[in-house]
Amino acid sequence: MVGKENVICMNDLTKYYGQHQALDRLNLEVEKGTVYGFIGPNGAGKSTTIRILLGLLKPTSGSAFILGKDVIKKGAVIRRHVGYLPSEVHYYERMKVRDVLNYALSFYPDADRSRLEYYLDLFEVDPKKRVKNLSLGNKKKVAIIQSLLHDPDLLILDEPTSGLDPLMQGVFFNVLKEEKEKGKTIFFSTHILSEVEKICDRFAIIRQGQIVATKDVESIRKQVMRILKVEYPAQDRIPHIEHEQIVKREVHDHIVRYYVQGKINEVLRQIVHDELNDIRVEEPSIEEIFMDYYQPKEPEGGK
Amino acid sequence: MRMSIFKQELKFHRNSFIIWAVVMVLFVFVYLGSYEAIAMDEQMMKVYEKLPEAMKKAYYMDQVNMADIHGYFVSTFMYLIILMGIYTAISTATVFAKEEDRRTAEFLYTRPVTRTNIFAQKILSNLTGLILMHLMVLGAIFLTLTGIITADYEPAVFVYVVMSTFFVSAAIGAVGWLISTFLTGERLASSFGIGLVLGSYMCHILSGLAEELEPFQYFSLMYYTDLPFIVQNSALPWEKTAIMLLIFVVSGGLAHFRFQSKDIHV
Repeated sequence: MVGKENVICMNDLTKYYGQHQALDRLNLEVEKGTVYGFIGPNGAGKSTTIRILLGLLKPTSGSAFILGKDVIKKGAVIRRHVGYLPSEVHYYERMKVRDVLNYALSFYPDADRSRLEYYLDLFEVDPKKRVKNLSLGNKKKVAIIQSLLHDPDLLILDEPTSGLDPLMQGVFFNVLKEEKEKGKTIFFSTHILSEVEKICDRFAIIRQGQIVATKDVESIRKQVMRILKVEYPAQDRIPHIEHEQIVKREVHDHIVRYYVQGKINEVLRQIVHDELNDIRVEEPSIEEIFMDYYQPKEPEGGK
Repeated sequence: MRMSIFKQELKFHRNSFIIWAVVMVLFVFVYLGSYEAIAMDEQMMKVYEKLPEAMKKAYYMDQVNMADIHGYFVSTFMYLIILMGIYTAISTATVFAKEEDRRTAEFLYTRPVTRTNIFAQKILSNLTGLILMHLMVLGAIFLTLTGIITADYEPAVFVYVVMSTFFVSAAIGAVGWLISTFLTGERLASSFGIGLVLGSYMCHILSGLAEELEPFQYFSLMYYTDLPFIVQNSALPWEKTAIMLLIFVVSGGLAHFRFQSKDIHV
């Protein structure tokens, strides 16, 4: 059953390449207006999933829906409302940038052509250049423009920032925020975890073709531990502090890192009671949180 | 149906089309234009008569009169069939393969059009090129006939020769599309297509060498254009044309089925 507000819905999506199983019964729902991170290490199945959504690959079994329509049966209709940014950009080398973008626009007769000039200016792309003369970053910018030109309801971005300089990454993220404010849905594949933290509302982690977790970025931040890094005057002056919220303690010389679960107020009060040189509150990066999901589990009984 | 892909394909192929068209038109001007100089040359006719039987057979000289404009035309037109075959094989065998090879498939196949639509527009652009190429050859033939040749001629023979070549080219084209849906390397696909055409020519030559090699003629393009039949009857060889049409429909249908169902790897 396809949820009313779900822009993307995958049901037991499975894909085999010969004997190799690339996707294993993927189930995922992306609600309208969400910026959804789709993260996982290389070869986890991110691009395969995206290519099935776009109709480039056929699933071995299972189904996928975009805007309530089957991606296999109604692919062409769906793609009218989808903007796609591939991870590696390949256009017709001899064409000029403007010709490529006009060619892309020609598939959307109702598209507002003024958006082309707007985005060319915004991303500082020279439309007279031939594709073959563009740098990797500039090709990426052309691809970003092409994905946005027809004002799609859903943006599918496959590792969108690779090749972009930090300045352009900033411009790009601002555009994504604007699109989100307009109610657009963004499905965002990446293995750069800080990007997920920066822009996503929710994320799913895919590993070895399986979804291993789906989480809310905000809630995971609230649930996670904070680290209190306390510098005492000397190692023999480190007090013995016990609290139910302290789940772990690491001592290095005269510095102690207390891992605190939940609110830190009480623990903090207890710590500052003793003499100390410095105290810092650290949040584990989202990368540290994800790493547990990322790494393949050792088989039981293994080394 | 918006014709964006069709128009873009025509643009992509414009330069190669012009080069091939110039080559073929020049070929017609040079070979057909030199008919009277050769036909009037008795020494040349004697040379033709002394050629080995296998060679005479290869150039239809066992069936047509080289002193006659129509006979002379079809014996030289064989090269144009090969040229046309190579042009067709290259342009059709690469039509889908190049998108995967150059990795532009990811752009093209994620446009809001069905695979059938993409297939239709691409093969339509191939067919348009093919029709235009044959019309240009036909135009060059009649330009030469009216401007240079003084001998009497039957216009229908020349029209049927070009029509017959078109049907054979269309069949080669459909086989090319099928090849293109299986191969993902542009060079491999075009080499495969050219190999088929040249292999077919070799079959034509082989079939004339000995009686036991005659079955090779069934793999030859020249067998299906049947130019001597056109000269002798001033009509299209309908049975062989029907076979070409059948190959066109079956190969085209298979190519569509394959294109529709295949995974696009980029």
